[in-house]
Amino acid sequence: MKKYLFIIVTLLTAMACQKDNLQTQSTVALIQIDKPQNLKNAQLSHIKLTAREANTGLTTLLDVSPEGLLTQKLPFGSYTFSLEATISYEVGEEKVQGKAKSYVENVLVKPETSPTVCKFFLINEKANFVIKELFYTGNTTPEGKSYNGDKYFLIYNNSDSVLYADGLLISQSKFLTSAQNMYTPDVMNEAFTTSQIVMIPGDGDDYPIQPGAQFVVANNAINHLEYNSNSLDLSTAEFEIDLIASINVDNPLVPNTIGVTGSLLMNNQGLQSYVIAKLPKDVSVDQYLKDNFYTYSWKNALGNTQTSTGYKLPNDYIIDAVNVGIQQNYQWLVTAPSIDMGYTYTSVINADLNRFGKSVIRKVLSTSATGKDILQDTNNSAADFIPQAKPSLYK
Amino acid sequence: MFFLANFVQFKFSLIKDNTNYTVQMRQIYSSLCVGIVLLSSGIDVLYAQQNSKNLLQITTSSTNQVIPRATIHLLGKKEYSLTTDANGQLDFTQIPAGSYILELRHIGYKAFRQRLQLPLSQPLLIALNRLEIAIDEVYITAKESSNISRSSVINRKAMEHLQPSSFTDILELLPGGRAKDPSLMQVNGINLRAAGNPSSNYDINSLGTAFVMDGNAINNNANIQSVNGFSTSGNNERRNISNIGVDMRSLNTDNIEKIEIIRGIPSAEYGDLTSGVILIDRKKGFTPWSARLKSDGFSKLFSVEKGFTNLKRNFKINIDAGYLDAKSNPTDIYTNFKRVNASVRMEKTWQKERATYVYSNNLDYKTTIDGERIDPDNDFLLTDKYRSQNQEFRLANNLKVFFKKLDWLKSLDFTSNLSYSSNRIEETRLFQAKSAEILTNSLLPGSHEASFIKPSYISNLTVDGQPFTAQTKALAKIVFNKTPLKHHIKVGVESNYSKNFGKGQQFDLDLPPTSSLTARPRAYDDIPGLHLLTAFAEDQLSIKAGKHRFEAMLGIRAFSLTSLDQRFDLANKVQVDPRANVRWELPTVQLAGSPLRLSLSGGYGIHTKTPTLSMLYPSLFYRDITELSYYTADPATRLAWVNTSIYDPTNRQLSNSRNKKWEFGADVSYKSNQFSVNYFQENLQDGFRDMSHFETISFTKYNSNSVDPTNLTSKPSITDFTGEAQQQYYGYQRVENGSQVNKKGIEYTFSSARIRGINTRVTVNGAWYITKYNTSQAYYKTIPSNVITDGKTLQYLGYYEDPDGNTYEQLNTNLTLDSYLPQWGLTFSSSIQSLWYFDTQRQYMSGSPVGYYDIEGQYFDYTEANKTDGILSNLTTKYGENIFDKYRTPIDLQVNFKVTKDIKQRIKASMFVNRLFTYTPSYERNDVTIRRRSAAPYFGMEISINF
Repeated sequence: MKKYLFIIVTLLTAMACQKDNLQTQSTVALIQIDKPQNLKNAQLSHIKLTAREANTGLTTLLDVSPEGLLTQKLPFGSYTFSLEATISYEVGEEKVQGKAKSYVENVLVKPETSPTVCKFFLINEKANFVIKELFYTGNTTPEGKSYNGDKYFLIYNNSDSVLYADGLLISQSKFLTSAQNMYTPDVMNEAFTTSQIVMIPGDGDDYPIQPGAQFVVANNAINHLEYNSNSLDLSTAEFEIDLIASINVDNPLVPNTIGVTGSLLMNNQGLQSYVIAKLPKDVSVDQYLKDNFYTYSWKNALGNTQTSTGYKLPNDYIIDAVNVGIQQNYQWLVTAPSIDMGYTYTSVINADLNRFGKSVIRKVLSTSATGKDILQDTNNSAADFIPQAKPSLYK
Repeated sequence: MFFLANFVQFKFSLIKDNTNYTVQMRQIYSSLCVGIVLLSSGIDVLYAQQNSKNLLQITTSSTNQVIPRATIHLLGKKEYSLTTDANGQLDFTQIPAGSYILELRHIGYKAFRQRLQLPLSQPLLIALNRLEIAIDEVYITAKESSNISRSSVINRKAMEHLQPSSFTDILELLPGGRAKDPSLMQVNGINLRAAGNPSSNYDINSLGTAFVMDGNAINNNANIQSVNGFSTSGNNERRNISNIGVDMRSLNTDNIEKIEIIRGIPSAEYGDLTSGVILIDRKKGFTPWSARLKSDGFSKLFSVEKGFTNLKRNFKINIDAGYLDAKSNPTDIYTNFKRVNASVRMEKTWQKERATYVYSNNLDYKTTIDGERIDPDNDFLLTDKYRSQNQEFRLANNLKVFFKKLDWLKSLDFTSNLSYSSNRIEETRLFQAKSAEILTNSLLPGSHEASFIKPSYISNLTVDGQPFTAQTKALAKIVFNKTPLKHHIKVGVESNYSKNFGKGQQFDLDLPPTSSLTARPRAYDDIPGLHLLTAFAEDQLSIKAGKHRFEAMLGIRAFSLTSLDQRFDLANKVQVDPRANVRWELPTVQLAGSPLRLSLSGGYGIHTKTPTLSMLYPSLFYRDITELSYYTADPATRLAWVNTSIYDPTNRQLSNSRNKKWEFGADVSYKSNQFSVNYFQENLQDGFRDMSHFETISFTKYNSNSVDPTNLTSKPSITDFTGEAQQQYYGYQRVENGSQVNKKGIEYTFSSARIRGINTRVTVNGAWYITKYNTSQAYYKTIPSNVITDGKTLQYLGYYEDPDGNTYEQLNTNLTLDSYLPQWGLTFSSSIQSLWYFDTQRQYMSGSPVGYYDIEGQYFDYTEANKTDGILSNLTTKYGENIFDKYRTPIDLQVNFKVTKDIKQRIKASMFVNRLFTYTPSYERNDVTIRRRSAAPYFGMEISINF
């Protein structure tokens, strides 16, 4: 009799232990995946969850299925969820792969909890400054005469960390997208050919730009409405281009860019492309100019050889490139396809009278974790830009 | 006999009836009929032979056929136009008694002229000769003249057949010429004996061609219409008439009787030229009322003319007027060119015992208008307008005295030739600032405050030029015939005065037509007048040596500018132009019964052109550099400072342009066939052109950031700003003798006699020209302005010895077949014009300077190492490997047709088609195939009516 009682108690104890085990685990359907906004056909895969328990400090790494099911069970507790996933989505016709992240704090894992909403945000690892807008056509006055003091570049911090504008180079291409020639030597796969470069001043940390913030580099940072009621007020621009040769108006409140070479006057038809770049820390401006000056030649339509000179801007230095052309005259890209594969425009035909007062603006892809816009940068300006747009700085 | 037989028959038929009654009726009837015939033509008239001998009968001499409906003109106290009836008869009963000259011109027959006294005592019988021999004298192409100076003569018939819109079209007939569409939207300057169309640096070619109208030279030295430095309108460039000589599109051709273009070495009587002389003789004497109307793809032309002759008083007067309206293309009526011209010319002759006096007086008015306006449907810019009008009045008086009894002095010639022009350019533009621009209008040099330009305003620019020229000339012709060496001597003096009385450029300095002014308003009447005094002497010698004949024209022309102040090199400097032409006529050789004539000729001459008024007294140059453009948000605190530098580009060392020409040629003629060929060389080293001169400008570049705008309430003072002293090279244009033109070539003309039966003449003419244009002096050029050195621009100046220029070569042949068929009143020509090739070659340039100056003015040699330096390499222009190759454009062939039809002798209708057929094959250049599509045919027609 005592023998059977011992066995029953052991069995009951064992059953009791089992019951305890069930109580420390949760269900596997714990996460509701909220995909990043505005992405077409987004699919998340290889989702990894780093769960850190607040009280014990224990960090658990788990895989999550695309439907949001944990492959392992998670003990109850108060966690901080940090998720990382590979995301594939469509931009136009192209399929793009990227990374997405999610971060949720104070997740209570307990019995019968509803799934935690994990909002994913797109992460651009190589994110940096991008050219957000190019306003190069200038405006016409109400009487129809041309006005060109109000051109500007708009540059945006597309990453999620603070970047410094100091030393950023803005450059206009030497070649025209409407005139394709066989240049010898042909350096386009390694470098961008230019003869007009300006540089944002600063030592290295004078001009911090917050993530999601932008800055304006204007031809003349003045209130143009005094001269042309069709124009805009650029007196609050962050930088002003110091045009050495032509009309140079100086707003003393706005720091001037430094002229590296040439006088950057944007072509008002949109026949030249633009890049932003930074020189490596050990390369000074003088050294750069000396090393990269080159002479090239080509045959023109009559068969005559012509030569000219320019500076090479290595593709490795380039942060962002935008090709601009005229729809009906477009012949070729003037940057390597690896840095930009398409072109955007404000003119449909040559000398298009409707081009004035229009700019090209980069599209918004998604929103970041901090609520800022993430601009689309697939290195294809045809897909990334809105052509013939109303300049964003207009009221 | 035939005529008499007719008459007799007629008489008999009448008598057959009731005689007495019929005779009386006949008398009355014949008077009535005479009256009727005078009022209308072509009605059969019954003549009573015994009542009137006062009549005319016209027949042909060869076949004795009557000529019906022939028009005769009677010139006497009054003029009459009468027409013969169907029987070729004409009664003079209605014409009052008196002395008359009878003129008869009928298609296909030689003109007939005879004095007669009315009423006639005998019927006058005129038998006309067919124009067969005279047909050979009809030229509708240019004829190589028999003058000792090599020249081409173009007469009225050729001009009528050519149907020109302006003088430019006449040049097609010269050897080397080719049919070209009229280009009336830009100034047409002449360039004789040259291949290629060079830039305005070689305007000496057209400036150096003299135009002499009825013995009076057209002087354009005081013409200064220019908007240089004021206007950004591109159209003004091609309408700039200053320093180009004569704008050929302003010359109409309707009243011209004959043109002689002296391509070779002109007589010493003509001067102030480097190239050639165009002699224009206008119609004098009787012409019927006539109107001409021409229309082609670009323009419409209308003109009327009439000439009167009063034989009793020996007085002739000619009047004409014309209008041309041309558009750049039919769809753009706002860019256009108009020309209006009117002329009154008279001549009176007095026959005295000792001498004949001929006095002539020409009064001309001409205006050309270039207009441009924006199409109101296309644009907002309703205010923008451009108008350039040149009005010219010309009064010429000439008195010639022909001595009848003096042995040696043959004639004296006195001329006074006055011209006054009112030239006005008016441009209204809506100016709108492109940004916050600075108004730079200071008249004083130095650093000063400036204001920001008004954002939008209407600017009015007026350029008022009033050139006035006065020429007086006296010429004596002396003959020594006693010795075997015969002398025809011309001696003369000439005085030429030019001045511009215009107010010059006028605009409101605060509302300038452009924000980048490099000049300021200048009154032209501040410029002193220019006076050129000339004396010339020339001897035309001839001597016969056996069967040979030698002829020479040796002349000398001495001239000096007497009005310049002493600081000018040219002031009162006397220069001498020698001119020599010789000709050797070989003895005639009998070939198949007709003489073959051969002559060899040659010549050498120096031809000099003095500088014009605007070259000797140019406008000042202004250079404004912005030193500070402190543009704050509050307009009251803005400040702009500008440094103005003023340069006087007067070149007191400017010398005349001299062209040395020599040539030789041969002329052969046989039975109305003529062949001429000549070779020439011309060398001009000191043609006028603008060349850049450089100075360093010192200024202060103020730092906008040195004054904090945040607490400013009023404009800061310039002393508050820190600045950096800087220097820059600045260039301005100065007239120099920097152009070199070398011309070389062969011209040939062959014209056959008219082939009998079809009356067709074959003319083959053409030329081979090599023309070299280049700079004749070393020149300077700054480093390109976009090269930045230490934040500054324009810090280096290169010195170049490269001969910047081009060589052009062309060979052309025109084969013209023209048929003159007077019996049908038809003139028909077809011309196959082939430009066999056209070569162009850029003269080799190394592209590198010989040395350079830095901003301190220190000179360095330009080394190989400099060619790769980041900054100094920009002083070298790199030329591609093929740039200096010779490029050939192959054959360009065009076929043109022209037809003129005389209708009833009163109406002449003409039509022409140029480029009806063309052959322009594609060609390869550097592995690129160039396809040529020739322009569409150019055609037009005209009608001229004689009343």
